[in-house]
Amino acid sequence: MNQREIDALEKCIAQTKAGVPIEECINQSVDLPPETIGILETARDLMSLGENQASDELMKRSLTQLLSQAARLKAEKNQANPKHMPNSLVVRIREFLQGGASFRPLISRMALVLGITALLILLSGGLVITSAESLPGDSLYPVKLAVEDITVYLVPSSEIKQKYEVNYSQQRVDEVNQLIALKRTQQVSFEGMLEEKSLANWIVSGIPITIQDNTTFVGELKGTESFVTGSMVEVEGITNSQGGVTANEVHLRQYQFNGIVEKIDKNSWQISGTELAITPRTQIEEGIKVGDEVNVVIRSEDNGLSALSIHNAATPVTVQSKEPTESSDPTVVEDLTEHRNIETYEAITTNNVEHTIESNPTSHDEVQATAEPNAGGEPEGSSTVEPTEIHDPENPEAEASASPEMHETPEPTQSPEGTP
Amino acid sequence: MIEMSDWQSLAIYNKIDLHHTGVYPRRMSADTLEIDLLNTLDPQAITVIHNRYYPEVFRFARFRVSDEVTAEDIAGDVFMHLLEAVHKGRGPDTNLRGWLIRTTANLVNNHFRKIYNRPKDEPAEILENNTDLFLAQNDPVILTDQAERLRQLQMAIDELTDAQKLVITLRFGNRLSLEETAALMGRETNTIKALQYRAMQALRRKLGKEMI
Repeated sequence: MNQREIDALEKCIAQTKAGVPIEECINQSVDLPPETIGILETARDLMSLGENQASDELMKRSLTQLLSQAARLKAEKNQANPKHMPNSLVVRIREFLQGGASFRPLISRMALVLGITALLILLSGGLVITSAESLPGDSLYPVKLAVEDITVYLVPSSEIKQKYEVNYSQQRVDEVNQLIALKRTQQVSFEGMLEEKSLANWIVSGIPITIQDNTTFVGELKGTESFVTGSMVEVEGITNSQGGVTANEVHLRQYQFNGIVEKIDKNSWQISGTELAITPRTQIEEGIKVGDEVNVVIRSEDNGLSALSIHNAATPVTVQSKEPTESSDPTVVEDLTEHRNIETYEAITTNNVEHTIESNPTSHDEVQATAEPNAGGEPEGSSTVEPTEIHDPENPEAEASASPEMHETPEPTQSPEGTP
Repeated sequence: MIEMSDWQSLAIYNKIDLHHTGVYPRRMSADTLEIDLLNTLDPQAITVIHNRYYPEVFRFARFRVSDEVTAEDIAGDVFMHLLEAVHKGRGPDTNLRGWLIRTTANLVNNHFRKIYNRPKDEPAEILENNTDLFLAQNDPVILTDQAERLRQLQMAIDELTDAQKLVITLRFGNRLSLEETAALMGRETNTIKALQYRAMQALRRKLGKEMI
């Protein structure tokens, strides 16, 4: 072995990765010894062997199983840690207080005080804390929903109100996951993002949805046409034994379209024949006038349509997303950027995150013991085999003992699984 | 590559209290954030992590085993092991990617041990066990020389040392660069080069014998 041969091999590998056929590299290496040429031919075969990739179908199947298992484990965790839900309530109250501190007008502060008083009265009974753990079908579940409604109602800021609504919406999804993990059949209703859609099986926020012949669709267009992946939908149905929800009714809740502005009023706009309510949370790009083509993100409620954002269709715009902006669901971006570069609407900024991080230093110690990883721990897969050579910063001794230079000849090792 | 702000957005959207994971303010990076979010068992965090790493894990397994079904099983098991480990508080601390690759390597090795430890298996049967039994005998895939050569190559890889197997799999299966492979294995780049060259010499020798 000499450096020249090693370098020739590395050069060929690099060229192949850059798209140059390895045969070309082999042909250029005629001055190398025959053994090195043979090794280059082996490299060519190894390249062929590494061409298999995971199909989308495979990934979906794996993800579905994984999310189902995660829901089971999370339900177990919540049962073992009953303080979890009350703690989240405490966090919300703390956020409520911090958010309220910035309100200057006297009337807002009075509303805040009244709200806190009302919450304290409710909290003092202990009923609310107990109900926070309840799931759909439990006797205290209506109390939980009532507390949420009161909380949202009392919040004076539309921004914080919106944040609460998003949180509660996600809580509905968590509840469905818990019901599924507990194998409880229960009527549920939740809102989430349509992540996958086939004829009879959809996935909404990670929850498999079974579509039946008699499932009703309430959307902009007939049938399921307006339900594209990336839309926000509300599912009403029953949790089933297959680890999902059988849908009775699906509502399209959030989507976008391009249209011409026909009428502009203070409280409503008409865009391509559609009347849209303008609310305090509506984001409107400056300078839009009647006759302009705009892109609108629409929120559909039972009492009508409202605009979440209106932007000129001719100018590129990026709206803050409540979803992760990369790789959580690439289809979201693809579907929603058919006309423009807008993802789902939600005004949650990085500043919000920083605020949360800095504002809650107290819970650190409470969970340190459970979150601290096992310093000498091995991954599950390694429990029955000798250490491998990947660097493990948590276990340098194991790495040192497994140096390849020390073990050039592989030794067969018995494992429990391999023992007949 | 997922930026830290994306993970933070995910955290806030899912009302995940990052202090609750017991890590703030002692560290903050995209890698540690994804582990922190993973510890919450949040469905969206798991989806992001799965979609980010599954292709890599699958490629590693598929490079080593000859049929897709087994590779799929192994890749799925890797993520199930990850959830179980996190649930028991024994999950990865800083290097999720390394943890996943290491676990995949171990599960692949376990798979081969199961095959080799069957007492009645003759070498021919071992080879048989590594072909795709779901393909018909007259399937053109089986009959081609190329398929046969690749199958022999996979068998030869399994006879390498564990370090050599890893280098070959990471370089040719996962298409990692020398530097990435070195970082993942905690070794110098020149060591990886030499290890790779020795592995390929060994493969060449083994394949030469097979052909004879």
